[in-house]
Amino acid sequence: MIETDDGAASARTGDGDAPGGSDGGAGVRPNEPAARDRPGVRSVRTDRDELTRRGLFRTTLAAGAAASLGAAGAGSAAAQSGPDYGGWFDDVGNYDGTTVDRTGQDAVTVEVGVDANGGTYGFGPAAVRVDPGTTVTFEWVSDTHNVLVEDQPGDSWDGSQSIENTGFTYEHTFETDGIYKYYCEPHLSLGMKGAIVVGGSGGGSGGGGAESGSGGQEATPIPAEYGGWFTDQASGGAVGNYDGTTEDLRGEDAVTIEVGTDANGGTYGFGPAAVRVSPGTTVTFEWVSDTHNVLLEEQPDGAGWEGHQPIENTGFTYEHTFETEGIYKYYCEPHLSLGMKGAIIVDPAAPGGEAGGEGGEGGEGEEVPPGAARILNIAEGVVGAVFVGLLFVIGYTVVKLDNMEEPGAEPVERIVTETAPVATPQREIEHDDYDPIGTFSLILVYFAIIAGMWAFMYFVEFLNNGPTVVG
Amino acid sequence: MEVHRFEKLWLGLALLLIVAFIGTVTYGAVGAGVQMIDDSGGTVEADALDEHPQFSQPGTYKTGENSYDVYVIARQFLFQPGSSEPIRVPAGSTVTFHVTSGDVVHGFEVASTNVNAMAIPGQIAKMTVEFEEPGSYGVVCHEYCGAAHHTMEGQLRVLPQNEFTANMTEG
Repeated sequence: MIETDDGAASARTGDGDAPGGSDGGAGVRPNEPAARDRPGVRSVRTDRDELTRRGLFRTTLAAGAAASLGAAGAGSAAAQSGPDYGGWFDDVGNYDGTTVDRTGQDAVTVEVGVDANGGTYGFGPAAVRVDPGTTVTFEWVSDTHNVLVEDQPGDSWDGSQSIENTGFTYEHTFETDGIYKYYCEPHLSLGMKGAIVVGGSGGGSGGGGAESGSGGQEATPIPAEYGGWFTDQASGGAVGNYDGTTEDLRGEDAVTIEVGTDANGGTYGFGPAAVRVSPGTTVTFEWVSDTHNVLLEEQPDGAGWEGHQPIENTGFTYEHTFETEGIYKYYCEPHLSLGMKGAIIVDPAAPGGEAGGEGGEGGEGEEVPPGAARILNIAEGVVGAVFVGLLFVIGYTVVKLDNMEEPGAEPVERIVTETAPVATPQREIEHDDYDPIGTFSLILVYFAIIAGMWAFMYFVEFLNNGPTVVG
Repeated sequence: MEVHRFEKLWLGLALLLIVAFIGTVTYGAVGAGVQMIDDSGGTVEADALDEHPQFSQPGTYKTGENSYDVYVIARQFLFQPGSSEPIRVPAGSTVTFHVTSGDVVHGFEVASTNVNAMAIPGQIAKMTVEFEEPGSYGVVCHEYCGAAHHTMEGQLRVLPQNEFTANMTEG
């Protein structure tokens, strides 16, 4: 079932409820343009996986990173969250789950064609994290490789398409934050893939911690009641990545919603599906997969949000500042039927006061078929069963008739007659048995039907039907 | 063996019918002016449609007095153009469609007409169609392309000549 396969629930527990809430603000939350580390449901889950898998190493590494990064010292050891490569490294032999941290260095070298994947088919290191503005030098250490870009934020990096040999170097300066995935074209199938993570290391955000105390107005939070928007009662399908919770991002200046996260049986989700923000928040929609747009289903009176109608692809971003309080419901037009829907609550109430009514929506996920539909299902079943039964009876009868005839046929003995066969027919075929005229006219009718259908099919349906391909 | 003359007659008729069927197909292929879609459309880099001179800006392009090129990209699960905004062409024109796919195999069918092609990534399906009368057609994808295949549809508007120029946005 869709609702259960995305681990959305774990995202909630992993990411804390309120900015500056019980999870202690500054230390835990990664300081990030909020793009991949916070809202992506999957990234949070990956985070947890990694924690269990290689917790010891991470702790050591992060401690080292924190020690070397004086500037980002505010970030605690836990700040460096493992990026989510979306399965990019699934078949890469020399990626052990760690992203080598090279932040703080001006020049970083990645070797092309290191021993890995059953030959000289690896990038070394496979995954590396650098600061924005770092020049990465790709250095060929074996032959016939190139560097092609699979995925990147924006389109600034073209890779190095020509096949080069040992000794060749190529460099590129990475400015934009994000994950750059690249591969070697000839050896892609062997797992020669790599990734460069730009920015995002260290630093805790502090979130809206200060905000929580300053809420002068004791406004009641807007309840998270979406009127069935996240179920298939509204237009489109049920939303698999909405688990009944609304992520509370009040107090954040900038909120990112990923467009096209893995959900609803493909890359058909908004991540997170439902958020609560403060008025004046600029929400950035970041396309993380292709062919999506953002259209408005409903918004508060006076709010002039128009969404973003053109279909856009990975890397595109679009932002809007939400001023008018209320509930905004939006969706992706091509994937509405799959449940690619989202909602934003713009809530002037200060964070901390938990909105009532949360989770009320969750129950709507389990849809009981309406009575009529259920009766129809039963009726179909009954008809099917009767039909199968009927077939069985007919088949049984036929078989049984055959069997019944056989014993009767057995005792027939061949009688050898002494006389030669008579020349005259034993029985004249009577009129009723064979009527040439009648049979002929019957066959003529069949011919007429076939010819008529043929003419209709070909000359009316096929040839005489509006525009046709003429060249 | 004696064969009744009536039987001979309808055996003959049956043979005649077969000949007529074959004749019909031959006529349709040669005489009726219906063309098959071949590989004359050429190929395109499916991953780099945004670098293609026309597919980067899919839509209607005027190529002559009364002839137009329409570039359509099929994607999961929409036609560009077609779904978000209709494909617009003028009546009384000769329109050459160039259809390709940006992801998986799709279909492109102007519903209830013979304008029908597969949209294959990397391959351009090229077909020329004459639109005489203004009207509106549905465009459907007829190759299963994913979970929302059934929602993949678009619109083709054949506009009167005078309205067309006003509505034309691209090209």
